[in-house]
Amino acid sequence: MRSLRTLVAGLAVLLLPSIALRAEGPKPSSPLRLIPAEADLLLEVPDPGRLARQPGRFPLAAQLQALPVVQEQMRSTAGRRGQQLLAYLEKSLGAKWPELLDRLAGGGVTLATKIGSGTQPALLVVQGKDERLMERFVTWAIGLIEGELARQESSDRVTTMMHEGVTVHRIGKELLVARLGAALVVSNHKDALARAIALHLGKRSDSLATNEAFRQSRKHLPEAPLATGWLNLKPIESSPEGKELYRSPRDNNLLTILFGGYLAAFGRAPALTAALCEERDGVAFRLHTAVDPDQLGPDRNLHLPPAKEVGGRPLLTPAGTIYSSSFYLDVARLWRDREALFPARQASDLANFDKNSGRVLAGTRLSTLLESAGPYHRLVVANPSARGYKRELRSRYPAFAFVTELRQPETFGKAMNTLLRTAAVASSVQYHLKLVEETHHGHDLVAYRFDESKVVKADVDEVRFNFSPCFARVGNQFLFCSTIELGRELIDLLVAEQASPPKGQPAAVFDRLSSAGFAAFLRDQADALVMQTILDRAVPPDQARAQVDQFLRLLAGAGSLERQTILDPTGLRFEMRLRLRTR
Amino acid sequence: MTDASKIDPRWAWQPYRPSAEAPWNLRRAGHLYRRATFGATLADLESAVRNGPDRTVAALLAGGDEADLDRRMAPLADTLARTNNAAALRAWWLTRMLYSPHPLREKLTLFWHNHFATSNAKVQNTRLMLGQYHLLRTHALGNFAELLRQMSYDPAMVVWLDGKGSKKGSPNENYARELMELFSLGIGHYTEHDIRQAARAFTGWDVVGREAVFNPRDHDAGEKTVLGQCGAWKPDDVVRICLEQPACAAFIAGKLFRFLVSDTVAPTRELLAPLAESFRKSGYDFAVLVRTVLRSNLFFSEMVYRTRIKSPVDFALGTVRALEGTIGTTQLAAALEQLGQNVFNPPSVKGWDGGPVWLNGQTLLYRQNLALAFCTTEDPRFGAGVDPAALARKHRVTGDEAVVDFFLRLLLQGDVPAESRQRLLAYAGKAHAAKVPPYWTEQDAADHRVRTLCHLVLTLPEYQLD
Repeated sequence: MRSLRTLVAGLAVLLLPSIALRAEGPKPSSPLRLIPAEADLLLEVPDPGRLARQPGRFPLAAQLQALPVVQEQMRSTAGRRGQQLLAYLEKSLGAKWPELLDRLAGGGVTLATKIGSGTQPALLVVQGKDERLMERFVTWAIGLIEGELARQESSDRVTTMMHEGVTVHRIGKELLVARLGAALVVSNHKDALARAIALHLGKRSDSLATNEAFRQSRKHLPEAPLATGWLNLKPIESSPEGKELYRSPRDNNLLTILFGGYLAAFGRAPALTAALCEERDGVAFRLHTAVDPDQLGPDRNLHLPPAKEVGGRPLLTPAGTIYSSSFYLDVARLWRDREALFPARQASDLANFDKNSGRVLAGTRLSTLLESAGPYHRLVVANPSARGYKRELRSRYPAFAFVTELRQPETFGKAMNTLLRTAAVASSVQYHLKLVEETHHGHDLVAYRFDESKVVKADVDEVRFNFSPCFARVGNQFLFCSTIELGRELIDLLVAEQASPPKGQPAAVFDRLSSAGFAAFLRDQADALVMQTILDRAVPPDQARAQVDQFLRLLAGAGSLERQTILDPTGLRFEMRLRLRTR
Repeated sequence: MTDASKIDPRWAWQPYRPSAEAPWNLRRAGHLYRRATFGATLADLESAVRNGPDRTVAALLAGGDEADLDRRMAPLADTLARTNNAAALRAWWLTRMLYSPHPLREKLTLFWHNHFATSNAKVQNTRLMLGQYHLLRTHALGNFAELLRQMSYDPAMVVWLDGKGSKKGSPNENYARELMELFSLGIGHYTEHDIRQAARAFTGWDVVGREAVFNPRDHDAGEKTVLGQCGAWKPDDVVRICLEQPACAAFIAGKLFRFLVSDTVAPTRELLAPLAESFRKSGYDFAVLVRTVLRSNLFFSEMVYRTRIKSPVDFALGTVRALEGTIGTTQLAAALEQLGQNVFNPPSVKGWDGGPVWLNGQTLLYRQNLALAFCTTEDPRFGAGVDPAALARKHRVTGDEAVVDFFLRLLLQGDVPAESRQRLLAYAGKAHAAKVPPYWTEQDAADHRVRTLCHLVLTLPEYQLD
């Protein structure tokens, strides 16, 4: 049955190749008309040809195809078989695959299922534009599957039956296939297929397309998406796991601290819509939940800014940035709203801990630290533009920094200064750490360097020389950084930022991964990639190095990946944007 | 099962001389390569037949020049140590096993790995595991006394058997116990008192970074009585005392007997005595012991021929080497874990039990699936790295009968019941009539038949035997 699944999957893939001709003629019926209203999850590709053309917009696709590992796959027996099957399909149906794709699936492809435990009914609808060609395709595919089952001496067979005057093919015990006009319908459940047939014949009219909740949520979809998704959140909310996840306060404090605000939004939303969209310089993936921002409960204040407040500060992007993030997390709420956020026992434990917390926090109470910190934070990971040690390192790691905006800069700065200096003294003897204080751009940078003349046997690879931890305060921004060099660069950026009025951006979470920065980071780890290439694929060392180099060059010029989470009056929106170099 | 008491020890360890009853042929060459290496190509086997047993064994003991392999593998070892990549560690060793020009040395390294069974599951440090691997490989055909001595300070061993943290006043007994029970003497040749006393001698060691470090303050420098000898013993002294015991040489000889000769024949003390004697007299030169065994009458006798179950490593690597494949070893390591032999991760201090334990309903199925993955060229783990059809073409083998005989000769030296060969021929005849997908070429169909025949040979019961 595994081979059969592979063949069926192969046939499905044949319908989704990479370039297609533009559809001409009247728009065919939507495949949504055949999806029963009970569906909880829907994935739809309105125009498979358009989706398949996307990789062709970017040089990256051709560069990826030129990689030896991809070439190897294309030349492999399985790759060659796929190409042979495609050629056979084209020959049998008398057209090249881009045209076949348009005529057989140009009306859209939709996959729908229910949510629940065990195997749920699923329904795939492929809406063609050419009924006669679809008929020939079904005959061809069924013949191919029958031949393959016979060749494998499988006990599974293809049988044919009639339902409401429609010919239904059963493949093995699991799959049912029917052609409804120019549409191909595949299901794993007879009732689901029967419902699709009834909708097709007009014996029922309750398709998902007529479902009001579904229609409402689709209003939030962007124009002309490449693919869409829809998830009915009600079954998840009403499940025991969902109830535990969404209730407030929940028992899992870590979930509350990390995702409380977002869980509050998902727990109150009727549905989640998703869309994949074409953009000028890439593609964007968007998730949207329609919720009222004022109805999100206490968790909201932890992760999502109040109305009319900015979501976060601008990204910090020093030279060599790999990853930069700006996010909203109001840690003061952990203390102020503890009784609403956490169960009574934990809230009381936190209060008790706070009373004696000065003992472990160098004289400062936890509540003081939390309340003096602000809600805007930034994180940066960057390839060092300069190394602070003379030693040539074999294990190189990027520098990183955390920058937090303070409500009470003086209080927080003083407390943190004492706390960090105490911690540094404790570890300075074992690791030969020396205090180095300097003033940069008028700001005190308190830093620590490892003594290069000393040997630390426990640090075999001398990883410590990747670090020179430091901290500084620039106005209301407090900076913790893994290297002095990055610390200086960030002080420069923060000083420049403070010279103009504070800016903001709407996203509560905004981050960016740069492929150039990431490639430079991987170049520092090239030995590990070469090793893996040799061990995985038995490639000679010089070839492995050349292949890794080719991949890193490709990655360096690829583009960037951005994510944003925005709360606005329509609800909570999550966007992921892949920006690629275009032709 | 052979009664070992009926075997004449003098005959057993005398060098094998080919005769009309016991001719030197492909069958015996195959036996030698299966036991002493990780399998052979047809060229290896034919060369062995031409060269005779003495020259073949001598060549295996001498091995080929490993400089090139060492040069290619050293940077990988350095990288995987720096990255503490446990999965790559396994793959790294399998690569050495698969492509080493000195396979006997690599196989004996595996023997010692099973003897001093240290697992990275606890050590959690690929650098230390590599260090131990190098120690084992250095002495794989060298001096056992030196290996045993150095093993007592090996950082991976110090972590594995809790030498780290063993201090005066609270000595940990694990290493002292295994030194006597599993590494040198065997049960019955020491007492609990000996273990407690010896454990005091091993106190004071720690592991810092890549080194085992001695802290005199934590060492119990008092007098100890170990196996009847009294003194302020340190680790070297305890190892020396163990090596001085008559049981030691016999214990190691017995272990090698089970590895190279038979794990179904239980050797008597009399049978092992000549081996143990010469081993001891050589000053624990392991190469002397191995040479004696590999050249012996007993090793080439019918009593031990195909009486062992192949270990997963022997099954998989033997197949790839015989089929002249070139594959990556990361996925191979994962497949071997499924089959029950996860190198660098033996299941306990006793190592792998081996023998019949290697095979059960599940592992047999996994073996058949792995053989299929090697043969089809369609499995994404190995791709076309192994291709029986290409190998048959390389050897200009065409026609069903020739193909069947080629694989039987290569993989089983033609030594299968006539019915098995007939069944393979019957399948080959039937396969011509079988339908193939309409988009396949004639060459696709022909290659598919060859690959299927090879897979069928790999699933014969005889192929599971060593």
